[in-house]
Amino acid sequence: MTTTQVPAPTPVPSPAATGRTRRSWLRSPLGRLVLRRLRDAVIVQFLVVAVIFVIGYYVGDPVSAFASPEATEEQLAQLRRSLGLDQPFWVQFGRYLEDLARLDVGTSVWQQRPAMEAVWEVIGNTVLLAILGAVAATVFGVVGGVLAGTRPGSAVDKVINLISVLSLSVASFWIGLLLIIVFAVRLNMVPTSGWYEWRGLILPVATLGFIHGGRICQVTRSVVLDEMSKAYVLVARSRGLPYRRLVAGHVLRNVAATVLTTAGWEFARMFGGSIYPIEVVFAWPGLGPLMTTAAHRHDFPIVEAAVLITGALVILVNLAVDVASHLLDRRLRPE
Amino acid sequence: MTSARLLEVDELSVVFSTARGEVYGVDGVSFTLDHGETLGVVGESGSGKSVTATSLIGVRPPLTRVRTSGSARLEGRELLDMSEAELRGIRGAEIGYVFQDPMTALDPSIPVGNQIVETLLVHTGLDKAGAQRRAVELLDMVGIPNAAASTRNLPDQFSGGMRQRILVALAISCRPKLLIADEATTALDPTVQTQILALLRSLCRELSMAMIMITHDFGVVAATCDRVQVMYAGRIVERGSVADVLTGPRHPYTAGLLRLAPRLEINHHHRLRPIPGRAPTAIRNEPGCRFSPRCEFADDRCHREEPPWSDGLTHASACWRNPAELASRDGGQAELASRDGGQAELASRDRGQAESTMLDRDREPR
Repeated sequence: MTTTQVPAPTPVPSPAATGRTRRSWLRSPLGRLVLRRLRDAVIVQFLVVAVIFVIGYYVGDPVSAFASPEATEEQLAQLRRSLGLDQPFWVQFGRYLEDLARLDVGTSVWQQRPAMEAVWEVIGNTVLLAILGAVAATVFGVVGGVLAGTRPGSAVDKVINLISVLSLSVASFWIGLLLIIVFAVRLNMVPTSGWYEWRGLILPVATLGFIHGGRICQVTRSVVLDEMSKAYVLVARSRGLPYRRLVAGHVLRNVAATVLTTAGWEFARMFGGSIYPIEVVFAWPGLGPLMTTAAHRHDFPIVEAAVLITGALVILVNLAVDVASHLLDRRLRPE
Repeated sequence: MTSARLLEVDELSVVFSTARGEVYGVDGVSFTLDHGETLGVVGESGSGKSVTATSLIGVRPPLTRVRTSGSARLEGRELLDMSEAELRGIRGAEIGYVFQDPMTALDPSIPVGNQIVETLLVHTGLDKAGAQRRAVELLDMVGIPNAAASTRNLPDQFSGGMRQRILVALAISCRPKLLIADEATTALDPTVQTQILALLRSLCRELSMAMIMITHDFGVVAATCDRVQVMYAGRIVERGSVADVLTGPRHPYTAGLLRLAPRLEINHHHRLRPIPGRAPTAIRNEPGCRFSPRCEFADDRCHREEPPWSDGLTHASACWRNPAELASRDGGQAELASRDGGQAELASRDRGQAESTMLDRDREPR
């Protein structure tokens, strides 16, 4: 076989040229936004680190946890010295930051291995569940919100409103248990828990979607309703645009940034706490069960690693939402 | 068989269901419009001008519950019986509509060219490239400078006047037979207003398009229309050729409106004489002439019975009082400005609330 058509070689940009384009991208509004947010992210992450350190410094005494109850005062002092705990606050903080730069938050006493390793092992499961949960919540919220917002005062609107209020009001673990009883125990449709097959994800994802979809639904309903009453919608109808195209092409497009921000906030809120009890209820091997056990066993390094990483995740999600809403809304994107 | 007339509206009534009962937006309005003809519809806010026009295309703000009766035929086809899908084929394609406020009438996040293209794709057989070319032509036609580049701009990159031009381009994009300009120049400053009116008039001629010009400003009517009808409280009270109505109004309401047009030749001691009272905000089905509570010339019969049409071929009004009688007492437009006739009439009349309001206003030092 002969190659008759050789694809044109892609022109390799000169280093100088790429340098220029990169610089100009950084100077574009979006580039500046990303830079600004990254700077904020670093500050926030540093504050998270500092707070964790201060709590660790003042709460609990690692030496008394390590040492045997019969240890003498002198042995304790020696242990303290060998762990560097007799050093002044700022020296300890400096060493802490130094270790952190190597992603080392210490060794888990419980698991007898670096705490970061234990957290890395399960973080993927938590992120997977959170992403699926956020997708479910967004689907529920947007579909419900649009249905309700385009039919204010109708029966559909009232039912959706009731559901979304329920979603905001009930306790997440209670809904989880209820779903287990109904769908897993009574109807035997899905497994009660576990992660050996994808069907095990159905109930935890549904629970997360329900808990977090309510607010997205209410925000969507409210912005859709508001948008539908704008003059341009009436004008677009007066030129004969089909209703669906009007809702999908104009109304949804204009409310997308608001809805996305809300969805992103709900997504971040999962890492902020709501996902962990659900993981525990459904025995999902994520951060939730790990952190709960670690806390019970006073295993500070694991809790610390988990808090650091989820903090970073929340910051990343917020950055992604900011960038996405910029890309979505042309008005935020000057030429 | 298609009717010779473009539009025939017959006894059109629009009733709004509100929490406080039924309210008439339009009450038995009839008129016709020929191909290429320009009709002005004049009246105060709430007189039913816009409701009449929006009934033709079946578009209303959300959450309004209405009952429409009567008939409105576009080239013989009954608009009021059409399904939503059929009406969609009329809107934009056969009836173009330009609304009042150009600042909010365009989707703020979609380039104006795309908004025109979108409309063209719905109503014409053009493909996307063809529609894009046509959009540029249209923007050029309505006087947007640098039309090709402007199609990519967002609405907020245009001034109010330019936006109204874009909305006119949208309304005429599919070559409608009828253009409804609903207070289309009200939100614009006078210079821009003049430009848009000139644009509308020349487009009507070029595209042999009929136009209904809804306004509260007789100046706009004088500049653009062949015929005019004056609406008050959901009814038409006077109709005729623009020249006839402007120079010899027959209905006291029309006369009152014309009296309010500021004129240069009158010295500054002259005060505008407002029509006493207020236009009703909720019109109910009550007997008598709708204008009678505010009318200087009203008598008992005016309050009791609905006035008949004094029929003239080119100029008619719905008033019990003899037009000649009104004319002799109050003269033409010029004499309407003098107040003697009105005062004498007032003294000999039972006084309702509206009249006393007028007296108070007259005594008010300014």
